[in-house]
Amino acid sequence: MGDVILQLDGIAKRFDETDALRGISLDVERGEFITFLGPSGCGKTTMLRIISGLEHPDRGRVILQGQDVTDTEPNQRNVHTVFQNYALFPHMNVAANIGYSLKLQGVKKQEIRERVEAMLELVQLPGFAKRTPQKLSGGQRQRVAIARALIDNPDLLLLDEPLGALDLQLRRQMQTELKRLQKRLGITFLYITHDQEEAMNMSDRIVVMNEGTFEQIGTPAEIYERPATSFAAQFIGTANIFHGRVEQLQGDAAQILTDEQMILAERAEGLAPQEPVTVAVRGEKIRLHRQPQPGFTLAGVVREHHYSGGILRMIIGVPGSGGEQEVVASHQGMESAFQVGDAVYLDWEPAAGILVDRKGARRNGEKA
Amino acid sequence: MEKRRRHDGSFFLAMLPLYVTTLVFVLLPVLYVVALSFMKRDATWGVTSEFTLENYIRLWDPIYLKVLLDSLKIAVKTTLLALAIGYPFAYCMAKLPPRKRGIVMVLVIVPFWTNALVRIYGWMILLRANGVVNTLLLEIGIVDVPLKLLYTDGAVLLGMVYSLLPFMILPSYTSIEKMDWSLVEAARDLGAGKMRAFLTVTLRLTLPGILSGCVLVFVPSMGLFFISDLLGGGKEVLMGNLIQNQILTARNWPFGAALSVVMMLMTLLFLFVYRKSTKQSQPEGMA
Amino acid sequence: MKGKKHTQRRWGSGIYLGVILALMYIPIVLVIVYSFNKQKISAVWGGFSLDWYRVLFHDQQMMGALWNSLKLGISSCLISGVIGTLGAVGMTKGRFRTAGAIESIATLPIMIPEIILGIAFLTFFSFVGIPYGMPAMIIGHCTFCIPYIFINVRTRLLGIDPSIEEAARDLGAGGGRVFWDITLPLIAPGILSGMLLAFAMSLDDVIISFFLAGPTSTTLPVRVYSQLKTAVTPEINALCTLTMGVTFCIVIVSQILGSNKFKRNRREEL
Repeated sequence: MGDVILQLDGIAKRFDETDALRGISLDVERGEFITFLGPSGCGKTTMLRIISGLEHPDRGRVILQGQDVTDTEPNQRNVHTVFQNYALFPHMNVAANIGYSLKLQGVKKQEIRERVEAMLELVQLPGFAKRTPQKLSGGQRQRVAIARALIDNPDLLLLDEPLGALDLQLRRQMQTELKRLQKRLGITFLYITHDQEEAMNMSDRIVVMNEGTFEQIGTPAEIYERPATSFAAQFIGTANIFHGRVEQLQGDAAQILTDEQMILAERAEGLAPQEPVTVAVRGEKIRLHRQPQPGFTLAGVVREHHYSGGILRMIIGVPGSGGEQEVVASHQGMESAFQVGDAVYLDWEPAAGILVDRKGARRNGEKA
Repeated sequence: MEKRRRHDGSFFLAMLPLYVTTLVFVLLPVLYVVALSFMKRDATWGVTSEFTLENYIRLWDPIYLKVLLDSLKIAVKTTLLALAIGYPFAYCMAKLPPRKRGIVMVLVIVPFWTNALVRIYGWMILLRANGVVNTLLLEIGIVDVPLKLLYTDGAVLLGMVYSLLPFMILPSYTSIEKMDWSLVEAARDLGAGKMRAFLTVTLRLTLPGILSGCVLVFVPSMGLFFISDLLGGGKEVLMGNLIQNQILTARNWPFGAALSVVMMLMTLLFLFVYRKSTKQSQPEGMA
Repeated sequence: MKGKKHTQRRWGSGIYLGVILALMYIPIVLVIVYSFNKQKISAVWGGFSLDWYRVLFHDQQMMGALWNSLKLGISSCLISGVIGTLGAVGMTKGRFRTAGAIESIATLPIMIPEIILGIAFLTFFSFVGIPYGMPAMIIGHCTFCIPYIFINVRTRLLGIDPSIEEAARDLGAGGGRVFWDITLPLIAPGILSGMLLAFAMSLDDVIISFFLAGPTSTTLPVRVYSQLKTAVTPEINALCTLTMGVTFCIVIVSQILGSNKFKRNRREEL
């Protein structure tokens, strides 16, 4: 471990009038399962196509195994892609699809047959060799596409929303299988998705992307617990965002004045009074009270209750200068001491008020 | 950037034959006809490359104006009749269950690809003085003398509509079949009567198909000289016959060319209007 | 009440379809029936016979015309198959500024009345000195066959999911290999059905051949046309029946090629 298999260095790409990628850099380690998570149109597919060689970047370098492959054709790179719609060759049967890359390399027919059989075992489709892609279900096509891309042991496997077309149950099952497959083969996976749950379940590291840049790179836990930007905080899980100014610093906490309320947040390194800050607070960290709490003046009225899957979400209307702001608090369980219409006071542990969008962070991170 | 160009090179090579044949064997001949229409006829035969407008001036001769008008008239009549017969046909066809629809489709396509001459010949057998229709009528006793059916204007119109009907049915059908029927239901739901729903929704949405059908019928109907030759007995002179006559018999190429240019302009005008109204580069259902 | 009305309407539309189809087929069926008629006067049925087919096959001129038509059809369908396919591939894959204009001009032959094309060839070929006859007819037929193949292949190319070709590149295939392994097999049905239709169009063409046939290379339709204008012999019935049989087979084959594979491709895209 610790050995870098892929380096992206300042990749930029423009399509007509829009910047798809704005100069991104990243090191990927061998054997890693790394997920690019972002809304559609954030540039993640473009980035994958640049790595595979199907697109050429306007600026920047792609370095694979220490070699600059920026100008190398896709067929000269030992990198394979699993396409969003599988892209199986409709005029070839399953075996011909899976064995295609070996056939191109001039591998003997007998050996191709054996390796295809082994691949089919691996993706749990034994006996499917002679079928045509049209006769397969979505999940089966998916497995064939993966087998086809893995058969000649690529340095990297790129997966572009490979589970997007499957139904929820099958998707969950395939997530587990993919993860297991990756562990077993030790091949580096670069995985694209817009589904945060999928990213959380499968990845060693997650790269949060937005508008052609990286918002944050980290393990799933890091990104959830310590989001770097308000975008990351809101895209992964739910978070309440407060804008304000540092009023004073006391111990581990910082007192923040938002437009009308006083709240507490963590005391981040180098924080100075009067500094404008953005605070992200996870819903489950918010506590509700009948009485005002020290350090907080945040108060409001319970507007709605939603119960879903063991979690009770409460929407609290907090008056602000620009009308009512909605704060979402969530609890385990299905009961709450508070009813719709009750007046409540809010607080949280200072450490739960995470400062996001600080220096070095992005200017458009405030967009939610 | 370099790579792009290398690919483009081989694609350009692939396109080269098409480029060459198109320019040399389509564009040049058409331009030559245009050039020819401004030349003088030579004393015996052939042309002298001397600029003149006399071929176009000659078009204003009432004899030729009448031919032009007659051709336009028959083209318009053919188009309207084909529409009146073909659109309801396409509509009924689209309402059929899928299996039957497929069968009717093949039945419409087969004559479409069958030799036009053969089909016209079939009508000649039917309409001749001693043909099938007359024989039947005499047998039953409805008439005493055979009716004159062949070599009439009606026969020419019949032949035109008959030959071109599939060109109206196919695009109409394509657009009717594509239509979202729930829109008609929505219109009915909102209180439109059957007729009104048909006029405001169905007809409106299938207009592109109707228009492309009209183009596909109108354009060739001006040029099918052999139909008026065979069914009209060459009595009715249409643009197509006149052009053929001027080129092959009278050997007045410049005048024939001028007539062709006029016909081409009418066609292009028609296509232009079609493109403007549907924003489509080719009539639907061409191939 | 409503159900009855509904059934009535269905009957109505069924009858309408039936009547129009009958009108479409009566002339064709008549030709076929009379080709087996013993009588020379066509309207009267004089018993079944194959005489007219025998006469037809012994008619040297007719057989010559048939041979000409086949030569013409096959060569123009092959030549335009190559040109049309290459053109469609080049135009779809490469991006050229002139492509739109060329496409419009290339499809012009099937947009303008055929007679204009005939006149244009007749006068232009005389101007540049190409003699009338087989070569001139082949050129003429190619110009209207190319658009059919071009449009057919281009439609198919545009229907191919680009990621299928990208997948092949991604798995290690170079440009030429992608074309042979992936693109060509996927557009092959389009090429074939386009070529069949072009062949059928060429076999049926009267107008272009009428203008370009020299004295020695009359085609079948041109010969039929001149016969129909003068004396009609029942031999024509037999000939028409045969050509219709051939066309019918071509249509069926091209329909099968066109629909099934196309549907399968479409499903694949979903």
